[in-house]
Amino acid sequence: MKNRFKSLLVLCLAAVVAVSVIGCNGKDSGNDDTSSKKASKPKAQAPSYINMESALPIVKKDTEDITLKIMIKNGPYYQDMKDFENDIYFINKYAERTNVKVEWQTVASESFDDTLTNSLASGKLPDAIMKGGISNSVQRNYGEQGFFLDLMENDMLKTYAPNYWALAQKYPETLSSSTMPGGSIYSLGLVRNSVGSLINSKMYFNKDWLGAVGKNVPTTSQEFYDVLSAFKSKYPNSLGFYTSSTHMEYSTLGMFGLGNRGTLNGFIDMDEKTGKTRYFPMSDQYREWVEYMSKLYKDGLLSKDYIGFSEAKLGAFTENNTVGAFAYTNLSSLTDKTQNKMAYLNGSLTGPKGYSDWYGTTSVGHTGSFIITSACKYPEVALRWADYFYSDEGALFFYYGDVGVTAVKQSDGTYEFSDSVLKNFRSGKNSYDGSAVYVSLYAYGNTPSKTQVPFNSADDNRGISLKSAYGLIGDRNIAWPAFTFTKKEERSIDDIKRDIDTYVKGERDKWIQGLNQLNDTTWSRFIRKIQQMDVDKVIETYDAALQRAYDNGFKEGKYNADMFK
Amino acid sequence: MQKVKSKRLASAIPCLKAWRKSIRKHWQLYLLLIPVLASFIIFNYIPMAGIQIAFKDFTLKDGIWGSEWIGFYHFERFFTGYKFMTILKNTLLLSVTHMIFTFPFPIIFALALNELRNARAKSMVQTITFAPHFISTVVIVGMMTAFLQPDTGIINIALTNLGVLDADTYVSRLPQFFRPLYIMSSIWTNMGWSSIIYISAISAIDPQLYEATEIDGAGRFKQVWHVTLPGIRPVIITLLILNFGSIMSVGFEKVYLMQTSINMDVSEVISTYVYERGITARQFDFATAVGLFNSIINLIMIVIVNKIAKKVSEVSLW
Repeated sequence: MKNRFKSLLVLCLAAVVAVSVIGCNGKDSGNDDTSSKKASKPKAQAPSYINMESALPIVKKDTEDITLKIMIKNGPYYQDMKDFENDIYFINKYAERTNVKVEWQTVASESFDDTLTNSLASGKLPDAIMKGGISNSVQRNYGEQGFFLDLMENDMLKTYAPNYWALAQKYPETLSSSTMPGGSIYSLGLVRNSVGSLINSKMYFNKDWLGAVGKNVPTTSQEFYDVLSAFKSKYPNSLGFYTSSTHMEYSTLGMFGLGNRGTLNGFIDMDEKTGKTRYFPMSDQYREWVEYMSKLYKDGLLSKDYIGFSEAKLGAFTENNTVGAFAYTNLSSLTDKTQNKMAYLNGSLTGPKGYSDWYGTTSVGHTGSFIITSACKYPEVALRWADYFYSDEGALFFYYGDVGVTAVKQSDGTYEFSDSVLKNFRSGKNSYDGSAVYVSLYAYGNTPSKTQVPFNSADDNRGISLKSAYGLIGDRNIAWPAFTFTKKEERSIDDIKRDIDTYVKGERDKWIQGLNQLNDTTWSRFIRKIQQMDVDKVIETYDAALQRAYDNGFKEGKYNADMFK
Repeated sequence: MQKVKSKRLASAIPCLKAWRKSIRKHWQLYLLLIPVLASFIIFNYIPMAGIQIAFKDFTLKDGIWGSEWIGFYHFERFFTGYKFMTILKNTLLLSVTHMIFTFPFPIIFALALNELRNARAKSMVQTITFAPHFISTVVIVGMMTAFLQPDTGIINIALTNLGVLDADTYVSRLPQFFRPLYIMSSIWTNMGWSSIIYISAISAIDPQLYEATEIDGAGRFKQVWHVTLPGIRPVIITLLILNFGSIMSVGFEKVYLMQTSINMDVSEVISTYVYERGITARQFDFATAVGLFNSIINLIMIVIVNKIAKKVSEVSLW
């Protein structure tokens, strides 16, 4: 028996030794590829094959045969497409005009993160990543590891992205929204230089219902309450004000002076008294807001199902007349007929203390739409390739294709897709976006382009959505861009901020739904708990980030429509 | 020296000889064993080398072997998080109550099923009851939410009409219903499937034992108590020990799907916490550290319970 054990033991030891030896030798072979690809840095002088005289072509004819491998994130409409490269008008024409071939790697949005991580881990990187919506944090992480190219090196951005650079001079937040501490920039972002694309939450009221109760679109918090109240009495089976928790905040926090610098930094806005950042759920104004919303809930004026909000439900409820007032980002879930029944909020609501901010505002500058990797052998070409979309002709071509072929110019100066493109939409067989995908790559946003009117076809720039945006933009503070942080700062506050936000959202919903009582005792307990969770560290870090944004050229001010003419 | 060596060799040789004989006799079985062993070594043992990233600052650029060591940083981050005690408590509470309530039902069900005389009824009941096991978690949580929805959910309507529930209560979101719903849906889903092993154990009991007790005048219930239950005791204890070994591994999917902003105090468990913390920047090192912590606790639990089981009964895993 003992001998059996001995030999068994010996065998086991041998196995362990074998495994560790094998393990030791299993070094990641992928690393070698990455390190050799790092050698591709932007050249100090423009390569001879690049046409620096005009926008197109990018690569001079009969010089180099250049192919870019681009990874692009796509949503559902594209997955039905049989031949991505040949079915989309834009792709074919653009390859001809730029003299640059593109090998497309399309990735469904659900598996995008996994695919990207796998590419990085295996060392098989594409040349560029488009529409990835990659956050500043991830960009900094992979940029510092050498996977993403720093566009500020050798003045690459200025030399090969003149259109983007010009926009950045006009709107400083274009760059400050993607500049890392230390000055590196790893991506081009969507430039939202139109009024319609800066307001990301709007409120609508059913015109027929307003007529039936004899009221107008509200302008104050009291009128808002009265309109909802009247709706409830007239239509007792209606669901009240329908919205998601996010859009409930976007559209009502402003009445209490909260969220005065836009939505890109969560619950951080400016303390007007000190000029520094504050975590606004700790303010007395937040308490007033919660009390106001819980009254709405208690009186049946706020939908009891706001936690379970979905776009599909919004479409259904507005269609069958169970919802007469709602707030959301856009009207695309409503049918054309229902959209026409809606009256829009023409100006931000004024609260009881006189505040009339609108939290649902966003910045002109965004990040993460076009990234060039270290594997790209022609970074100058790649950058010029994407930069074209920031010019007027380029943006028009990107969204609408060619006027006279896939688009027509309207009498009011705007553009629309041609009848052949929209024939399935008009006959009801397809949605607007579902038809547009055969011309352009703009669907699902986050594109490396600008939203400037009239070159952009997105929903926000049309109809009552646009009119409402004009009403709501008046007197808005310029929104802060999404701040960037160092690795150390992220490590220090990421967990804390997430924990505090989760706690705040929980308490908010429990109070609004009447599950907990909001009084002096529970409020001071709430504040104490947040302080215990080290919120001061978060505020300090955000202060530093705000200062960095100022140093990078961001200026405080107010939006006005003239900025975007 | 010479003598000791030869003594060792001498004692080793008959052992090897016996082995070689066994291999020659049953070589087909050993051949069958090789792919299994290989897959275990390749997919279970070799990847263990990756555990080291729990102590490293893992970057894709440096890979598993090249990343820097940072000691217990990830563990500190996990343990000093403000919510750690709450999350640990939630995990253990959910896991233990889940086990206490879901463990007996398959056994009782198997015993009850055993009493059925009609073979067709028996197999029909079996098929119907283990069908839910194959329904995905997402669908189950979706059904639960739909049935409990005020105004439209059948269960909600039934309970409101009976006067047990207030109208407008979103049962599937409230903290006080989280654990009961989690456990009840688990029982519904898994009772049938888990009872299979008990049913087969029951069928293995010698029928003569039943006859013997009948002669002594035992009724049906006494028979179950004195023959059937002791008969499947080894199976029960083995499964109980194994259950304890997964006490820290509260499944991620169902909890995550059932979480709402208002029940986070009870629904946030280790797996969902790590999912959130690790998802944005793909922090594999942090997730590995927490996974290692879970596995160590599970291992300790299973060793302790096994020892107890050994002492109290003759049944144990090892």
